[in-house]
Amino acid sequence: MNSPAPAPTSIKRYGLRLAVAAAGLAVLLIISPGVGVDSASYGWWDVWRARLGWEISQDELVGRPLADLNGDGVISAEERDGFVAVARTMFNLRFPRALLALQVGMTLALCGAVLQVLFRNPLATPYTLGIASGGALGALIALRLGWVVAVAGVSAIAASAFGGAILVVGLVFLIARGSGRLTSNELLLAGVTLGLFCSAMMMFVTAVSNERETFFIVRWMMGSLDAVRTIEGAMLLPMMLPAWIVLILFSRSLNQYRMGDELAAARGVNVSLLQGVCVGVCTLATAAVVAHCGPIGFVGLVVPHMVALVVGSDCRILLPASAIAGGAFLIICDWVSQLCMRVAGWVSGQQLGSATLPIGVVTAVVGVPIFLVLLRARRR
Amino acid sequence: MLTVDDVHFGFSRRPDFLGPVSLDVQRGDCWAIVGPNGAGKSTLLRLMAGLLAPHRGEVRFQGKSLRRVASRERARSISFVPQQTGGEADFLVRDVVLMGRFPHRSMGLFESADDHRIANDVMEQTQTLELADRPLTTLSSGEAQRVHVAAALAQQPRVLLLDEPTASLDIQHQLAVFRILKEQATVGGLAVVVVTHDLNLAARFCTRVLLLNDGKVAAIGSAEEVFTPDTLQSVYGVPLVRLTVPGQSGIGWLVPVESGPERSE
Repeated sequence: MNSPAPAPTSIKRYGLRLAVAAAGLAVLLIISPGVGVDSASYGWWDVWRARLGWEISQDELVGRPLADLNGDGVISAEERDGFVAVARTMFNLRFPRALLALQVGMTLALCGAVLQVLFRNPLATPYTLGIASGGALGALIALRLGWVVAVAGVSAIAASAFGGAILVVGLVFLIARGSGRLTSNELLLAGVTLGLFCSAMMMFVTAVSNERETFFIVRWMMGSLDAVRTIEGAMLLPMMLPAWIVLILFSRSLNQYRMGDELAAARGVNVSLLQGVCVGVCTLATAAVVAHCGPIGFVGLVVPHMVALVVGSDCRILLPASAIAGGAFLIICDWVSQLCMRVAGWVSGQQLGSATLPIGVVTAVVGVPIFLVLLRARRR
Repeated sequence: MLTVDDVHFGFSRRPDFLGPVSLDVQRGDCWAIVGPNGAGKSTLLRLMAGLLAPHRGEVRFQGKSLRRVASRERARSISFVPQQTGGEADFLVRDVVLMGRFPHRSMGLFESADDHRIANDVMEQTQTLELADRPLTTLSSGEAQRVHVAAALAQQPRVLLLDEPTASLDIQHQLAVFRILKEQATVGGLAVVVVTHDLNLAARFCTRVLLLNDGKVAAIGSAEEVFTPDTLQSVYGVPLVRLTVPGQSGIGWLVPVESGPERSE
């Protein structure tokens, strides 16, 4: 056998599936403006057409209950214009939300995957390392003091969150450095301890706030995608993009790193640079997420695990797949949270308004069963 | 080809732990670095791999100090197989071997057809081709060690350094690994340096031996010259005899002999 058959490379093995997953994510994003509305009247395509200014004819709207405002079975020009206006509003309410969920989910899952690789610990996430708690405390202090300026698209809250996060990370490293290894349990312990300290400080800040502020802070700490416009979603990008780019570019080096520090170093990977840059960009991205959406847990822990069970350890596949899965996961969780409040409204007979279930609740409720099932499946 | 020139090295607690050590590794050589636990064998190997920088003296590859060679460039010439390799990630064997191509590709996320051809070649040389599509975690330690050697060879190095490659292997796999190393040295023209505790394997397969004791060179030369009962007893504190087996060439077999229950050092 002189010429062995062409080997199935990772990209051939998973490239198609990755492409399918990315396409699925795009579909989720496209249909997101229409999810959860009366689909007999408004489909996602109507919402998009209204947004893009494409012609919607009067005849087309016959038989759509919400379009036919006076119920005479005929669509007048005014009724059509009203339909278009409502569809546009829907787009503006829902699409930025889905876009934000996508970015946040991608970022949290990607950072979780990278930190798990980097610390060689399945429990390492932005949360267990104290990054998120530090960021949340920083953001909370900025919120409480009323810093609302934004410079070059980065708000003071985000900057303060980043400051808090980097401070905690620095401290965690300083404490754990005695052990000399990045993968030690001391590091996680230091992270968890400092995270608890930050939580206590957040309680303190909450305690010295008035009722209105307290309500807002509590909602924010539960994690939410509320009150976002497209522009605010876009403001997260400068802080998240470095993480996406750097982590995908470093995926080959991370593969080497998975085989051990020494082997990676012997193959020409600058291990301390790799660790520093990865932790740095993850901190930046997590701080951005925390500042705008509060600490949304669970995505960074569970999604990379689920993805790794399916695609294996190769970071070149694992990282983009985690990002895609994280984005899809959070978009779906957001739908579920909207649906839950709707159902709760029907059951209780009360009008719960535009409120949605905190996304952090949904990520846990949706994520835990999936994770347990996968864990069992793997053990067999 | 790889020259260790009057190298000294130490840790904060023992600043003059290792050295002076000098040796010259030539193309086609198979060096064994032997010595008691804590003698500095692995430290010396890391210095030779460029992972540690000597405090005094220098390690040169083809006349150029490793300090002045970028790590990736160095990795294209020198492969290092550490004693412990991370096994928690479930990479496929083929991917592990392909990872050895890392220093040769600066751009692009995926390997070229050339990389695959090289990986296939080295897997054939190490008898790991039939394992190619199995996850690394499902292999026995003997098979896994051959895979790590294959990955090191996929780097297409001039120098191959291995830290106790046969430490936890059974006799069959120990022999298999050393046969591969010997073949790479004699046929492939690589310079091979292997840290080992197995004096007999070193004597049988290696052309040159460096005996370290407490960071100092206790003896250097051919196995015949180094493995004398007197030298070994002074280093290991255990009396050894050399037994020759009729019909077998080589220096014979080194066997520790009992010298009384009181002796403990």
